[in-house]
Amino acid sequence: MKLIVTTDVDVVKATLKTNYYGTLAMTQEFLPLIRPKGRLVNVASSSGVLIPYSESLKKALTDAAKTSVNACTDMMEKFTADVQANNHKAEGWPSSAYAVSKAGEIAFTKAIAMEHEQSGGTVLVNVCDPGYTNTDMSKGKGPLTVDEGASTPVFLGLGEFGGQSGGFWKLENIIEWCPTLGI
Amino acid sequence: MNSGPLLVHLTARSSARGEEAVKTILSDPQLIAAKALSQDGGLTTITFNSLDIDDETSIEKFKELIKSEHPDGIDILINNAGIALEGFSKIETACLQLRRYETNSYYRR
Repeated sequence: MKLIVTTDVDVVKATLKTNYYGTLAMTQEFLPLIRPKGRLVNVASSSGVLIPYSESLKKALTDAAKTSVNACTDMMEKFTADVQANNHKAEGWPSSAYAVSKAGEIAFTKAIAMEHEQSGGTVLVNVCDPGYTNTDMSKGKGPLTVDEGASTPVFLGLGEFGGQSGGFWKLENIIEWCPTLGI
Repeated sequence: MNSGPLLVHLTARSSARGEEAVKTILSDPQLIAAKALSQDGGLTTITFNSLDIDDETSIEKFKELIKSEHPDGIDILINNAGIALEGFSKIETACLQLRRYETNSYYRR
């Protein structure tokens, strides 16, 4: 039997590689292929909501989303470095690579939506929380069926919702990404 | 946006699992009853393409395929790929932690 030892920072790097950097690359590479008034939808999670974070990290992450993709990526690199240095808790991060990767996905989607709109783009770029859905990834846990979990991304892809871009959505509403800051 | 036929390029890193997902969709009783799919006379066609978002070469290859098949562009991209590893990453911990802040009706079962 092979013994696999996975350190926290290995989990962080692997999780960010797919959930943050992979989704970011897809967003950047494919946004130019989407026709005017088309849609780009990133599926994040309620675990990306900025609740279990220090007040300074909440501000830094929401500021990064208003600044640039690079600023968002810097925050993900700070998380990786803090976990590597074993001081992520003192720095105010939650102990979940998945949660932080999803917070990062929400952040960069907002930054790209802003940059796209500023450069005259008309694609609606949004990110959502599909709800905790019963899939292979959730190992059969989660109260929502796959159809229920698909409803928010399908709405953002095909529905008429008034032309907003850069929103964090659940069902047919924009929800707060950082409730204590009202953002 | 195009309100006519819908072509869905479903992607997965594993071809076997991606092909299986397409088969599951094509044999879904509700979709068949609704005649939503082109095989049943509907407007929606689903096709599988391999894509590993961890791999820049794979992203580039898929992008070239989409550009050659749809030179005028596409209408919608949904990025759903993601992983939840064991250990320092538990998805249920993260979700349950947050559910404390939410009402049950938030999930609208």
